[in-house]
Amino acid sequence: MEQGGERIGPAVAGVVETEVDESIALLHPDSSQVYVLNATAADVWRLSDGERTLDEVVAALAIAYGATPEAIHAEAAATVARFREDGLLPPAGG
Amino acid sequence: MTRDREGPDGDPGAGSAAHDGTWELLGTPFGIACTSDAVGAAVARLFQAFPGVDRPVDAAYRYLVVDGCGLHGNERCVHTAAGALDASGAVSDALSLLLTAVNRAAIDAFAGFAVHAGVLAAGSSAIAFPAPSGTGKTTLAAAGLRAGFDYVSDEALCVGPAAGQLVPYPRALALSPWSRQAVGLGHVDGVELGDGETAVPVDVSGARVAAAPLRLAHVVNLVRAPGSGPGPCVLAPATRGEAMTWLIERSFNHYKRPAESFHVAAALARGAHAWRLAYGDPLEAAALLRDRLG
Repeated sequence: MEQGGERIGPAVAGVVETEVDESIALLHPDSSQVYVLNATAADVWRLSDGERTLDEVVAALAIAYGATPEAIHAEAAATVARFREDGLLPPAGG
Repeated sequence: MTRDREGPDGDPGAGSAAHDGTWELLGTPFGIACTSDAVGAAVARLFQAFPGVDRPVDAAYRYLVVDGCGLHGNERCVHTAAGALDASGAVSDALSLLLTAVNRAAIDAFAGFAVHAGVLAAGSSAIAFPAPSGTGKTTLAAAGLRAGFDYVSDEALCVGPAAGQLVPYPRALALSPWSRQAVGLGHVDGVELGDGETAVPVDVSGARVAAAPLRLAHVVNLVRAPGSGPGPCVLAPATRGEAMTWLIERSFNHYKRPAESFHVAAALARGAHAWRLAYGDPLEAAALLRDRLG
């Protein structure tokens, strides 16, 4: 489970990023896998800059979406976990 | 048996042949020699939409169709520099082998970004529908020609390595009997291929090959109705992010130059409109594309 006090990101070195309208497309440098993020995942990615903790990411998203932090915490945490599994963000504690 | 008809060292195009043609496909010259006039005439029809060239052809892109090989001299063989592809009793099967081999080689040799897609054009604006084999790209492309679109390809969206221009790949449309009937081309005189398909040259269908320069204006994701029957025909907007996903998922070669292809796909998606087309009847779908996007 994601620790809310740990800083998230920044992106693993070499990940290539470009914006396509509201989406963000990512290219993994080693696998050449391409990821096209939906709007919510793109927002999580933008906020995962190495300066914010998960709780701070969630707080920022809650303000942007007009939702409570509790309502979006699980999705944001799952998105961060997926970024880490795919090697786009450094692993927790890394 | 066929060795004396081949060139030295397995170069299949260097020997004598009754019929010899050279065409440029996606920037690569291909040479196809045939030992009989009848097969040669069929090959010429299959490749007539491609420009003829008189540049030298690399041995890797030379093919020899031998009409009258095998133990009893009643088979047809397709030879390449790497050896014989196969032998077949029927000319139609040999032509299918040839088309498959040439198609694979042309796309593999292409230096730009290539996506498995049907592509039509209205003026300089191209519409691409990325999809895997067997999902109706060729039938929809043929229906599009009947609806007044120009032909770009039933197989590949090809983006050149320089300046991102689209490169037409107008191979002959290989249609099943069902597809020919569905798009009103059951009567045309095509070239018989294996598995009951008929290759319909573009000019026979009454259409023409699109002329460069072309820009990608629309990316359409195809959603076929279950079965082959009619169904509601609906064109709904999608996001450009989805368009980029479709382009990358169906790319033939993005793994060769990942970063370059990534940026090309993103630029294509940014510059195009994205759509989802649900349909059953290809002619109805083509008419809808013509009305909305043409």
